[in-house]
Amino acid sequence: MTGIAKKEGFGDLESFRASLKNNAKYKPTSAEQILDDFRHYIAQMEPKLPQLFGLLPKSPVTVEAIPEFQAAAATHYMIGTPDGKRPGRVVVATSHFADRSLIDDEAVAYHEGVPGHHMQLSIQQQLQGLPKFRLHGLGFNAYVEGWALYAEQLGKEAGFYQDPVSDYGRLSSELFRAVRLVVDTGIHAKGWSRDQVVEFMRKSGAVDEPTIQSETDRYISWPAQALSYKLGQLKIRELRDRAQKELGPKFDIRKFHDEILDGGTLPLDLLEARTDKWIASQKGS
Amino acid sequence: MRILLSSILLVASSIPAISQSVKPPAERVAQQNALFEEQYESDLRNFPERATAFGDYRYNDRLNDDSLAAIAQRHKTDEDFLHRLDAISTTGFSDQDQLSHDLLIRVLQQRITDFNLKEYEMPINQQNGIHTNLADLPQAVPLDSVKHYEDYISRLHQIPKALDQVTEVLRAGMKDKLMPVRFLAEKIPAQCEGIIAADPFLRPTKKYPADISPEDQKRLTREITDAVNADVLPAY
Repeated sequence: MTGIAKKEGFGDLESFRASLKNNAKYKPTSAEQILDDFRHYIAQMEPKLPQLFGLLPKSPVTVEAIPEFQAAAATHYMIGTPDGKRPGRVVVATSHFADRSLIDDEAVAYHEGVPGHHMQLSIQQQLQGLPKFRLHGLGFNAYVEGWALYAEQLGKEAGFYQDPVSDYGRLSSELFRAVRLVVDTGIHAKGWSRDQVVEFMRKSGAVDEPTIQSETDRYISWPAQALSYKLGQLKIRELRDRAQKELGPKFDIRKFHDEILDGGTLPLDLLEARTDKWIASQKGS
Repeated sequence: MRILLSSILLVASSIPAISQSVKPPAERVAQQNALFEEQYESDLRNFPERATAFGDYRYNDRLNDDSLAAIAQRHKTDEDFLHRLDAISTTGFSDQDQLSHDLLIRVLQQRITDFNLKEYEMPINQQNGIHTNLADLPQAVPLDSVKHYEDYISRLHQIPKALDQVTEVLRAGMKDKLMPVRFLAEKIPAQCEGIIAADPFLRPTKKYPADISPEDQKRLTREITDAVNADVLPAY
C-alpha cells in the first residue's frame, strides 16, 4: 500500500489516505452509481474467467441495493436456483451513500460476484456425480469466505485493478480481513470494549466510518465468523503455493482452481487432504 | 465433541458391525448413498424455505417450523442419521465416497454440538433473523405461476405462527440468559417498524408474469393485500 502511495507521488501512506478522503472522484454521488460500479466490474471479469478456470458458472448474477429496512446489513451474495431461473444476487450496501467510498468496489465486486461467491456456489450447485448434500454451502465459512477473498486477488491476475487507487482498495480489503483476526479475538477472547475495537479499526485505515460502526456490532453478535475470510484465503494460497512447488512445469492454474471448486464446500482440513492427494496424482500423470 | 462421538460409536458398534465388514464395498457405498438421499430429503422436508432456495418447490407453501418442539425433533433426527452413517464401514471406499462420508459426519456433528450449546436460542440479532428473512420472501420465492402466488399467500398466512414460534424460542433464551447484548437487541424493534413501513410483502402485486390472467391478478392482489393487512403486519 505504501508502494502505491509513493508511486502516486506521496511521501507516505498517511498523506495518500488523507488525499483519498477528499478526492471527489471516489465519493459516490448516488446509490445508483455504486450499483453501476459493481455491474461494471462483474461484467469486465466474466470474459476473463476461461484464463483461470475450466469450470464456469452456468447461471446469471444480478446486482441490487440492500433495502432501507436492512440498512445495518453489509454487502452480501444471495444464491440463485440451480436451473438459473432465479439468478444469484449481489446485494450492495448503499445507504448514506455520501459517507461511502467507491475505492473498494472493484475488490468487493469480484468477492461477491465472479470469481468469488457466485462462481463458487453456482458451480457447486451444478456439480455432477456427488451426493446432493454436497451441492450446497453446508456452513463451512472458511472455505466459502476464504475462496471469495482469494478471488479478489484473481482480479489482479486477470489484469484488472488498473486504477492504482482500486488496487489500493484491494489491499485495504485484505488488510480489513487481517484486522478482523485481531478485533474478533479481541472482543471474544481478550475482553476488548467496543471503543477499543473502533479505535483499532480507525487506526488501521482499512475501512470507512459507517463500515467500522456496523462491522463492530457484527463481530459482537456473530463470534468468530469474521475470522473465516483470512484463514480460508491463507489456506487456499498455501495449497496453491504447495501445488506450484510440487508440480513445477506441470502446474496448471485452471486445473488447480477446478480442483478446489469441484469438491464443493469443505472444511479446511478435508480440503487440504483432498488437494494433497490431487497433487500426488498429478505428479504421477 | 469427541466424548459425544465416542459414546455414539459405542452404541453404533453394538449393532451391525460384523455383518457390515463382510459386505463388499459396492454394497456399502450403495447403502451410504441411500442414506445420503434419505438425509437430504429429510432436510428439505424439515426446512421448506431451504428447499425453495434450492429450487425444489415441493414444500413451497410452507414456512420453516421454528418451534422448540420442532428443533428438538430435528436434533433427534440428526443423532439418528449420525448413528446410522457411523455404522457404515468405509473400508475399500474410493476417495470421493470416503470424503462424502467424512463430510456428512462432520455436518451432523456440528449441528449436534450447536444444539447442545443451545445456539438455536439466539436466532435474531441486529443484522438478521426471522424478521428480515421473511421480509426477503418476495425476493426469495418463485413467482412464475398462479400456483407460486398461491404458495406465497399460504406462507403469508403462516407468518403470525412463525413469529410466535420464534418468540417462544427467544423466551427460552431469556431464561437461559442467551440473548444478544442489550444495545444491539434494542435495534431490532426499529427494524421491524422499518419493515412495516416499507411493506415489502406487497411487492409481488406490482408486477405479474404476462400469462397470469387479469382476473387472476385481481384476485391474487386482493388475497395478498388481505393477508398482509390481516396477518403479516399485525404480527410484526
